[in-house]
Amino acid sequence: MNLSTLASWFAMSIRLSIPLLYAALGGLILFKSGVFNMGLEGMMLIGAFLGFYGVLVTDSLWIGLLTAIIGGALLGLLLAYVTVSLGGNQLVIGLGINFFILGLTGFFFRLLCNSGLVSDTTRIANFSSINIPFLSTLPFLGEIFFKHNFLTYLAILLVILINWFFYKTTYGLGLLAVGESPETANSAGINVYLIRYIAAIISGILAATGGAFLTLTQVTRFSENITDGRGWLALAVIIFGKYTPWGTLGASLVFGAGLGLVLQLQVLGVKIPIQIVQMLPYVLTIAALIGVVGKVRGPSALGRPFVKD
Amino acid sequence: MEDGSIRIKQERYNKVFITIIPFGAFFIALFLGAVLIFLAGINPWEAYNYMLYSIFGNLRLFSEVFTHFVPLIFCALSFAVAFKGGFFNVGQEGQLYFGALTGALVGIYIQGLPAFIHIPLALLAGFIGGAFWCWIAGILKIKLGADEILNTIMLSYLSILLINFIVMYFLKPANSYISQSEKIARSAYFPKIIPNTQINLGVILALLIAIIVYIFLFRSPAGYEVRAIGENLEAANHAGINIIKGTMTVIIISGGLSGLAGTSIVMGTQYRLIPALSPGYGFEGIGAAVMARNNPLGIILTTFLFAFLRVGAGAMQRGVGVPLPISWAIEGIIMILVTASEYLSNKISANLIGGRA
Repeated sequence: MNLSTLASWFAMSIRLSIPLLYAALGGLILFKSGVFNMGLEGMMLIGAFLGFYGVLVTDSLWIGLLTAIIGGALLGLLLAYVTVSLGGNQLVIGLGINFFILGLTGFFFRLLCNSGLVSDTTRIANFSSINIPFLSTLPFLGEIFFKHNFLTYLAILLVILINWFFYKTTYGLGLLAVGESPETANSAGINVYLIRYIAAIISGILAATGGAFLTLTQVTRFSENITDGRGWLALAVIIFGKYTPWGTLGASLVFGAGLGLVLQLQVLGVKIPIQIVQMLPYVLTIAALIGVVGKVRGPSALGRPFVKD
Repeated sequence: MEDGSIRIKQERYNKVFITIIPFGAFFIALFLGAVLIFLAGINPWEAYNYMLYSIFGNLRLFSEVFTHFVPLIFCALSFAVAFKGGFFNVGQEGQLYFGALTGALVGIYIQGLPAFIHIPLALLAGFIGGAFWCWIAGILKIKLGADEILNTIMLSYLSILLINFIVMYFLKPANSYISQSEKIARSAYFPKIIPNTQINLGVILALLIAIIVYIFLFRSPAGYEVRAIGENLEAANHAGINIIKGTMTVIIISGGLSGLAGTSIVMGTQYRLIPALSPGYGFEGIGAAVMARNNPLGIILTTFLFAFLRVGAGAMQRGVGVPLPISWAIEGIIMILVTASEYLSNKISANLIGGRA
């Protein structure tokens, strides 16, 4: 393996990790407020579909992205309404959302195909790479880090932003408090319901952006179930990242590198069982769950509905 | 003190109301499905009619419902048992695959047995396989406190990839290009109940096991303990119930049932191990269990509805051009609605047992 193959593998790993990063950051925010998000897969999928559909109809990438975000926000709102206001089971609602969206997007995509609006060769516009002046001309590093689309740079920025939000702002600390003990937070005058609603909506928006990343930057087309379990992998990212923003970034890069390795090995025609490489993220996550990489502790109130007296 | 007979009447009324909720959800979901069909430019009334007529008017399609029914009900029961015992097993899909592997191995490599020994043996192997895969998550929870929800999901993906790998590198006959195992022995095939259909021994077995699970959960001392653990761990502990034993019991039963789902596909429809064994029965089964509020007898009905929807959607696609994924959309809506209505039924059952929240 020479240097340029290595550089393209690293660059590819980053590209593959970004959808995971978006979805995982979205999941993380809601997890931190004490609510499970098992609907990441569905939220990504709606983003992927609506992003594609928006661009297909309007030819504008921005409108595509906006449509995706609205779809994700609505699903976040639904999740919040059922879990926060109605106290419904947080896990089951996520699974319900996944099923609903898998069906809904598949349904409309097939209609698009039947009507001839979309065919196998349909490609939409995509966010092109932005070469950062000077830095992108650096040998090796330029290729890896400084030739990505704006959504990639934005994702890294979000990690910094969310980290700052969690630990340095009043609202962020309030959100963490809600996730640890909603009762205490409530008596301290924090509006638990409002925080969880907002967290759920942001969660949906970020996950949908991760999904839109797939259709608007990588493949420029949609296919049924295009997310193919990435929402679940994002869940693994959160845990392997030990429920922290920087950890989430690190974990998505590790998993992205794994995905990139699978592709790279296939391109190079290396005969090793792909499934073994594909298993790694799950093995790593189970290892993290049983405490191999140190104690992984989720928010104390995770999964417990809060009922205001 | 209030009048006893009024109280009993009230309780009965409440119970009826709780039972009605899932059906309400079902009809609302069907209505929303009709809206989707309408948006597709197809007459929903005709589409649904077509679905009913084609399934009830065609033995082949009707029997296909049971092809889905059998694995689905095992997965639904698997979720329900674990849920009742306070163990959140969402790894049905992976346990299904593992049960399919162990069941298939017994089916393929043990030859020359009479069917009445071979079939139970393969089923037992499938049960053990699924139970083993669930036991991993269980032991990680009991010994290391690792969250079972996340672990069962991760183990699920692991299992699917592992089985894929095993089939491709170990079970595939050397002269074959398709990644699938050899066929299991004839003696391990589920005998057909109605010739030339998919209605086989698996259907009877599934119904029987649903009833056994019901009796276990609601009519046996062990089931009572399991439910006590699921409802309130601390109270159960105080009452002297052996928590670890009870939890392990549901883990083994739950995993084993999912394993049987996989084995039943191998022995009833595919007759071999293939990588794409399940089109998501695990998650779909959870949906059916949720709709039945984890009651094993209710699960018989909801699973049938889910299987019916799936085959019906296929018929609607071929006959009137309604895209197949509509069945998932409808099932998803049912899950969302039933979950959303939980507060309603919880409120009612809170009144039922005297205002305890």
